[in-house]
Amino acid sequence: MKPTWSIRRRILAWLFLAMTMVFSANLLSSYYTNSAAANRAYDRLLLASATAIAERTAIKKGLLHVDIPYAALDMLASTAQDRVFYAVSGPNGEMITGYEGIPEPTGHPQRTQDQKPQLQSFYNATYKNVPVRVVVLRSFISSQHLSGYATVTVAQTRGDRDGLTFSLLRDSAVWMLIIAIVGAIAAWIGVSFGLRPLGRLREALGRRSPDDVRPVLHNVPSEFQPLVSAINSMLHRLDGGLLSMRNFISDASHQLKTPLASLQVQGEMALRETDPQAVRAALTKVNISVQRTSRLAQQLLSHARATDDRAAFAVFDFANVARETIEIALPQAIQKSIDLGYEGPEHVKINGDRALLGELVLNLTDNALKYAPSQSIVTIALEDRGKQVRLVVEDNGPGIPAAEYDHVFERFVRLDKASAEGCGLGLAIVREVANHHDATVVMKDGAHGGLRVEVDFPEQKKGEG
Amino acid sequence: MLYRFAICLSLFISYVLVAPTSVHAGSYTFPAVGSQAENLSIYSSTDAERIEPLIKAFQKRNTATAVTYHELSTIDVFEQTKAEIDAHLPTADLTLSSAMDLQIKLVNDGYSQPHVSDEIETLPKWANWRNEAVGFTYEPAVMVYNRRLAPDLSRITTRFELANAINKKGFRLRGRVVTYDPAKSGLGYLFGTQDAIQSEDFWYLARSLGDSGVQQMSGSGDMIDKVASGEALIAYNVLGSYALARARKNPALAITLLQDYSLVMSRIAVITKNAPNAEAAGRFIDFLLSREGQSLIAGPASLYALRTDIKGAATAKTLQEKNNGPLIPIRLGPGLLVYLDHMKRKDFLERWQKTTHKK
Repeated sequence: MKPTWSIRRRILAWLFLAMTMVFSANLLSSYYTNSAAANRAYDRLLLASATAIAERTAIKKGLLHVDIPYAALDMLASTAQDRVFYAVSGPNGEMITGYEGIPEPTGHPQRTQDQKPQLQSFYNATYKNVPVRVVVLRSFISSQHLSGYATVTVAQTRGDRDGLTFSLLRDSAVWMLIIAIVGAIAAWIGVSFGLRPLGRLREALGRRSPDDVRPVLHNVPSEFQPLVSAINSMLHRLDGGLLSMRNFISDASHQLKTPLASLQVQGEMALRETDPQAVRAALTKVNISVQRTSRLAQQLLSHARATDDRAAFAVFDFANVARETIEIALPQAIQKSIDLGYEGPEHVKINGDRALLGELVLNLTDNALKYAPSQSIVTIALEDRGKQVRLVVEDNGPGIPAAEYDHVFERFVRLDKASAEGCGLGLAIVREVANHHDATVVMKDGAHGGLRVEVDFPEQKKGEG
Repeated sequence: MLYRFAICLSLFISYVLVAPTSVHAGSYTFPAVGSQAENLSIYSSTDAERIEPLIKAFQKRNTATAVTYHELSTIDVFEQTKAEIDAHLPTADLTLSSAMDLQIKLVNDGYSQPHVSDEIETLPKWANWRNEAVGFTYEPAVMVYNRRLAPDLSRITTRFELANAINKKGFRLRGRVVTYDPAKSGLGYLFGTQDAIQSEDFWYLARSLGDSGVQQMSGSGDMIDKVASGEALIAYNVLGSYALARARKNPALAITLLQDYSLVMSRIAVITKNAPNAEAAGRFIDFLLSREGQSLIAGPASLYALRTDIKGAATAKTLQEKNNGPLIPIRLGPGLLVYLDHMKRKDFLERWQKTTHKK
């Protein structure tokens, strides 16, 4: 197991991402806020300067006259030592004194709703190739010769404003950084605290004995509840699996005990015989018993495998398997004079576990041969129905009562208790293998009075390989 | 060179019309000590002979630098620099001027570039604006009188007393007081306007000066000459550096720093916006502000050193330590632009004329 990113790292990464986004937005908004605040603060000073000039604007001998007070420009001496420009113009826009060409405000209507000139306005502009903040102040003056609005314009470079904006911005950035660091530390510690219940859970599970499959009843945070539920459900299934495996093993050992005991008896009897003819007869019995026991062992293994995984799945020719089965079962059929045959297409492709499906066909065939009387007919048939495949094994023997159909699939059930043959595992294996292939097994009365077993395989999704 | 000539001519004409003042003239070339690799061109209102020791010492340290020194009036330093930059013509690397207001206007109007150095960092705030206008001297405006002819004038310690003395001794001082003509001298105008800001007594003094038939002159040197010759007894608002140099040679000349306050002027260095050799100009400024430069300013140049770690008579330190009354340096800043406003200037000069030309 390769560990992925630790939870701590994940949380920190998300935190970093979220904080970066929040901080960028915050910096942007505080830039505008701070810039506006800096403008407000310095605009007041700029307006005071313009007002001081406007106050000393008067009409002298019929002409507009300005006596710029020393303080008007001196008050604009700032820490950033900003440059200062000013201009005064008369009612008709004629320049009285000051700097020429300070840009006028753009984009803003210069008159209020009642068509009077706006008395004061602030705006940003570029003058002499440097960005400046400008105030325009209009003041009404009147005398017998002249009356109208005098315009005082004062502009200042933005050094102090930008300096203030920057320092405010730096302050808020420092605070955000502190918040980020504290947040990261809190997350770091919080993750350790938050994961403590998980540690306790780990210890509890670690202390358990291997066969302890009781559900976990620890109190855990809600985030871990699904995990605990999943563990509990897994333990539950494990419990079921263990139980059935235990049952199977006890059944199997019980089943193996009988033939092995009879083998032992036969062996001892053979040893006691002195007549070679009798020894041979006894050994023949032993041999038959060994074959039967070996078959039983194989069936037990098949049964165990059928509950296993699908790793051995592949596409193969089911018709071949059917024919091979007939070859295997033919001696038995001949012995009972049973007509055993295959009906169906030459090739039937199917996706599945070849060995298990062979076992399935063999078990059904074996079953039919076992319970059908001599002179009867047993047919293995395959039907290729496009995407579905159906296997049919039919005989014209006595059949079984419909009420027993479900019962016969249970392990070690034999309807005919007297018979020595078989162990009752065959149909159980059939069912397991069918389940393993998502196939359904149906039992019916045969057309000629015997038993008909139909195994329907679902759509062959993997195609023809 | 024809364009240069044309500009000089036009400047000369406007100069004659606007302000026919003392004769500043001449270009001086100081060839490099070693093989020349660069040239530093300076427009300056300071007499070449005063600045020469500084240039020579600078060249000892910068052996590949030739210096061309153009001596101009304060107004020409301003006008010529402005006109040349406006016309995209080659101009001086550095301007040195005692007209602090005009140097501030050069900077404010964008004709300069900043120079940042450790030396500039040590300057007091009032002597540095934007690292573009940099003061390098500390020269008080003083009163000079003729100690031999009128020893009793030593009693005058304030402007008010001066005005009263002129009023009282009207007959003796009549026609024998000199001061700057603010209309003709940039420095005189600066001192006058700063006086008007500083003191309520200024216009009272102006009226007294007018009553006494004050003589108005355009240079400190000329005023001191008058006092030395006895033609005048008192010179008001004389540049301390000139007075000190002359008083050292002429014991009849006495210097008074008035007790109510003394204005302090600083010569301002400005590197021009398109200086061909701004780097050398910066080096020269750093040299002017260095211990060596300031020692020379206090010594052979007879200007007052701004640095307080220089010893000698002509230093800010000595001035501040003597009981001289408040020394008020003229602060660099946008306030200096106010009296350059043409309307303001006209008003001031009109009032000055009206006040001083009564009789």
